[in-house]
Amino acid sequence: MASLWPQFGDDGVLVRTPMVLFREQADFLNAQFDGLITGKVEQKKAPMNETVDVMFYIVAPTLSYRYKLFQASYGFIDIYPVSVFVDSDIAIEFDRNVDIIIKTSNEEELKSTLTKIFNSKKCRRVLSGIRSNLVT
Amino acid sequence: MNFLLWNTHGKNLGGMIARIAIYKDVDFIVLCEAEDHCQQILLALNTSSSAMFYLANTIGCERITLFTRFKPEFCIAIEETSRFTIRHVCLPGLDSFVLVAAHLPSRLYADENDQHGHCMDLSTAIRRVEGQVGHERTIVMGDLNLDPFSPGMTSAKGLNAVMSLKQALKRSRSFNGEKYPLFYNPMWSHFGDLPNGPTGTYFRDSNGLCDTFWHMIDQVLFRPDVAIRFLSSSLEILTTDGQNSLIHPKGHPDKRKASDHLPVTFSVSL
Repeated sequence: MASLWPQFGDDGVLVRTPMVLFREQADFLNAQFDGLITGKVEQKKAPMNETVDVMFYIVAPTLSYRYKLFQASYGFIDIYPVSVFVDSDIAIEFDRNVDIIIKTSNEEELKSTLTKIFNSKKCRRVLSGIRSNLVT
Repeated sequence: MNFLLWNTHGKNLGGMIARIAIYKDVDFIVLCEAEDHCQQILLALNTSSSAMFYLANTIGCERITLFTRFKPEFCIAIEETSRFTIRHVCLPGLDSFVLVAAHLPSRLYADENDQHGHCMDLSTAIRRVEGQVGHERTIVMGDLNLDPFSPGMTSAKGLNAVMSLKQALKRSRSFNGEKYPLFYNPMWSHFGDLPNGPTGTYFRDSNGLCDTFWHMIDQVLFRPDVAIRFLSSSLEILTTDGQNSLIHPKGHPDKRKASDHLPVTFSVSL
């Protein structure tokens, strides 16, 4: 019997998962600080596999320190929209002063949200605090 | 070892904190909403008290201000979010312990499910740090913005905090095949009018259908290994700083003179 499946692999570009994007950004942080400060992406244990919940940490391995920067949630099958949860300290960059959920409907929007988070005063303050502790 | 917890309502209450520090011989001070006044408070502490206090700065959790009589290098930050800081306190000659200081979101900005979610995240972080340091001598203190009976406090996946020491000494309970370590929550014993202290730590007038008016949202929790060293009679919800009343003539916390929360002090024999 012949295969009844259609031919896969030539029907468009595969969507990159946010996990891949986050790990890339973690690697960029690692490279910038020669491994003294790095990013870590962890998937939350979930009872169902319908959604993927991931947390992004800033980590200083030599200090045994980590700071949770944000959390994101997306569908296992339908990846977008990706919900990014940021607390009020960062939400201020989005003109809000409470914890917020930012819904991003494609990779470009997700990248734009990440740019805002990584460039937020809070994120800079955390990185600066870690660097001071590394020096002392 | 003596501890003080207080949400200072964003005010510079350095004088009052310093008086409590002397009056209760405090070693660790955890303050919420004090970030704008930490230098003035430190100055007040070190002007009034013979013991030297240090500001044990957080890296990423500005909501919490921690002062200690010990050098900050003995209180290493292990994990933080903007809502909590988890320290490994290693004092020479004493068993090390984990000190968790938290200020969780208020019901004004988060519903009960969100608050439960924050407790789950905090609980997961505590368990991870306990695994990292290799013991469960953990103290949690903070303005959790939840009453002891809230799901976030009592659920296995939340803070899993029980009212009975005997129950807490069973160390863990199972849910859905997984074990979750217990906390002992001594704040339960301070509800209502029977104890000498006030009815709670925070009062909110309400016109809602259901309300208890007084709330016990400033809480202290112990893992069993610390609960057995906790001196239960030492836990107090303070109504004075040793000199001035913190209570309004109407009977609730006086937020004009002090804060809308009352301070909590306790002792643990480490």
